[in-house]
Amino acid sequence: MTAAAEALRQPTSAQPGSLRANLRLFWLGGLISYRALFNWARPSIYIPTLIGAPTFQILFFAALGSYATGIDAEFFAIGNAVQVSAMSGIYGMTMAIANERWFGTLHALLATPASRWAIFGGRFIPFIANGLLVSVYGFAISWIFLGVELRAEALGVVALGLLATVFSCSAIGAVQGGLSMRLRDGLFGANLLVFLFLLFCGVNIPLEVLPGWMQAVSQVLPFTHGLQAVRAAVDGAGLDQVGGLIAIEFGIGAFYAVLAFGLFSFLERSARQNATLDVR
Amino acid sequence: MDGLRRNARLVWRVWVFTMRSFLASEFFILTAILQPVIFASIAFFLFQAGGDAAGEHTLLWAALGTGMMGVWSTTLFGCGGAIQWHRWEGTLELLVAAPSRYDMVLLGQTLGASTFGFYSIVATIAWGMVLFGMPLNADFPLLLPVALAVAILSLGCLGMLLATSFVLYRHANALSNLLEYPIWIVTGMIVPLAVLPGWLGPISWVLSPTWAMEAIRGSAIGSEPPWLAMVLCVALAVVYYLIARRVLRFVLDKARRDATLALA
Amino acid sequence: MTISPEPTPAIEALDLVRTYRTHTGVIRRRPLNVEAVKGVSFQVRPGELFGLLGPNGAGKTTTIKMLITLLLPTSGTARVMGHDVVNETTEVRKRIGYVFGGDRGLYDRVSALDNLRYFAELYGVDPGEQKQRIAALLDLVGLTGRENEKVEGYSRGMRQRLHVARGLLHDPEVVFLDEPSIGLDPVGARELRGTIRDMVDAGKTVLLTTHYMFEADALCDRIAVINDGRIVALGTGADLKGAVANRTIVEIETFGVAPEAVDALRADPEVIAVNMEERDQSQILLVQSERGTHITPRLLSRLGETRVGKVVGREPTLEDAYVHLIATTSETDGTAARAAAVSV
Repeated sequence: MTAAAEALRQPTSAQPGSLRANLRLFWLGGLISYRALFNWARPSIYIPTLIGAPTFQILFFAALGSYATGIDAEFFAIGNAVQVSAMSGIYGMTMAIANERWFGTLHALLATPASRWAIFGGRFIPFIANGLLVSVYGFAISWIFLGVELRAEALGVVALGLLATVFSCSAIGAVQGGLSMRLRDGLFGANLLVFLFLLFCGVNIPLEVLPGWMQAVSQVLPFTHGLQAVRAAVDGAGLDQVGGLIAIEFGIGAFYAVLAFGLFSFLERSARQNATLDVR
Repeated sequence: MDGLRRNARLVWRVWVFTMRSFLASEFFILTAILQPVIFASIAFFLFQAGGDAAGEHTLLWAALGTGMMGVWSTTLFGCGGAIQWHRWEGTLELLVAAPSRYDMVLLGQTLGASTFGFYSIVATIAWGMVLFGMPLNADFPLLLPVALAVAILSLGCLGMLLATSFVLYRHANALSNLLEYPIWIVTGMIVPLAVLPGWLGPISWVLSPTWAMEAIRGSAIGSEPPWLAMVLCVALAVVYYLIARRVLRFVLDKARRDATLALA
Repeated sequence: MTISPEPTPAIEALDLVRTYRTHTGVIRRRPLNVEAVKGVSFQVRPGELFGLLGPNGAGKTTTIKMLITLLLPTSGTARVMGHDVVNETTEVRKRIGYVFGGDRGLYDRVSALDNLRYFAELYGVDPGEQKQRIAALLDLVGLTGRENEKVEGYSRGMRQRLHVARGLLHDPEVVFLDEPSIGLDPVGARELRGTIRDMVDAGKTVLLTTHYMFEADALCDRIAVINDGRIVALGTGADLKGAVANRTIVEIETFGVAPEAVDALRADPEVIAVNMEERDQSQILLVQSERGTHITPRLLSRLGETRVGKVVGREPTLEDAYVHLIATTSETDGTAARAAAVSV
């Protein structure tokens, strides 16, 4: 027997589906997927796209908003500082899922016994972290250029509000990722979503100004409640006052996350039925 | 004379071809129509909420401004990656080796992109009229087509300059992402330069979108015909074209020397 | 004397059928049922190297996808290591490795090591053993020293080797290889065959699909020839050759042979079959007849005015058996002649 065969004879223990395996897949696997699938993971792209562009977005809407409505620039700065996390959450999650198709790795992935929750759940974490980072950066820009101040006592509540918002935004990004497995151009939908978030959700336009149906739609989208909480917290509101809004935002995120997983399950089942995995 | 006619035909052919390929692209439908319309909605709501902050032609101002923003986006994304796209497709070598002048091909492409961008203005105006009750009138209607023509020309040439400069940067698309908002701000498309910091002024003067916006806006809602703006559009177009040609020659020579014409 | 019981087959397929519903036409879309696999049955013993051989489009990949749980059979059943592929997917997936050929299927933007680490997590390989296991596999496939390079820079041969390493991470009992030598140069292909033999030596069961007949012949213990969604022959290489063993092949080189002349050859009572190979300027007629018949002069006279070049009489090879099988079973009207399946 060759040395190679000898080496292959050494048994390996593998316990897919155990709690330990799932946790490792969730955290470590999530991180590897982030580097493997996120188109912008390189600094040469990351910096212009997730740092450069958001800077100017905040400045643009601060200028436009305050010129058009007379409302203080801070309103628009905060709205956009939070909204810029949408790019990480939505584009990122879309790429994290749709790029499996691009690389042709989906077969290999689905042929493993790994828990689908662990696989896709783990992909959220790096993008949530990324989104938080981009938002924090947005606040920094707002402070430097527009004098938007964040009191130290408010930081905790603002951070919590941000976390809820970034989570729900990533969740809707995951839904978009699932849809893009079947539709031809996933990034089209992702782009559209990001623009729509500028219009709805009280990011640039105060909710009261929007027509009724748009307000209703905003209520079921990410950002709306989390943003309200963040705005209030910047103005000095405490957790007792905005906790409810933050909880609703987490709830909305959970809803979209469950929707996303339902979609993935459906897609996998449908692929086994109809061989749709092979359609590029 | 014959050479000029041949070049003009080449540019025209590429122009038309480029426009047709944009029509088939979902991405450009998004950039030239959906994105401006969404931004127009944002602007309409904001201006309406603010009452008379911007004056009596508020909505038309907003429509033209957001439309022009769309023109810029389309020009930027359509041109920024033009050379890089050819490289990827493997056609750059063929184009450079062909007897026709590559700079004419590039010009046709960039003009096609900026022309296509003008769907944005049509879209935002239509949107404003249908959904926000915007009245449509132009103070100097005969000048409008002229304004549009010089705007297309000046933006197309700026696009050519972008294309030749971006090719040196591997991730041109990332740079394109970066240049959208700043230009919207600096050229005073929707927030008038008057309310922005003074030092932005000189920067805006060398950018043709500033004058293109002035020309179009002036024809529609200006108090006097925008002759200066139109002349400056044309002047800048010529300057951009000449610089772009120089840069292109340098870039292609470098690529031929470094054997990178074919590399993606 | 006690008779030891038959071991449970490692892979068992029973009347597997797979139909696809697609559409034809753009304006008036009519539904179309494509039968990719039309009732495939076979069994693979533990430790066997089994080959599924057939031309492109025969149904090999569809069959393998059903066995590795990626595709549901339209009807029929299959079991891998005793577990049903439809209802016990997790149990099946734990025990199988899946290696496929081609340019895609790896995460290009990260290193080979990261690819292996990720799949080690997907397979739940014990964390304490991961590092050693990955190192041992990299050594096995000859990628040691290059594991930190991004896969996007890998050659086709290196990618294939990485695919193999990935398929073995969790020490599966059964390894499925789907056309693994596609696009490999001869040296790479030979190395791959060596690795496959090592797998079998280590006690694994291997099922290999290929359209390279010589590869199946060189490697496999048994071969199933699949054509047009059905198994048309099953046995060892010797068995398959045996189907043509008592025949003689006369190779006749012709220049512009008319179809009537070929029919005239077929009409000869002692001619079993005539297959034709097209070359640039000529055609090679492969005439099969019972061994021992000196029919060459008769053949030449039947060809009449046709311009003839080289004439060679020889022993049949596995290739002749294969070509003949495929040619006679490619009729799609359902009345295809089936070579006798040789059971073992």
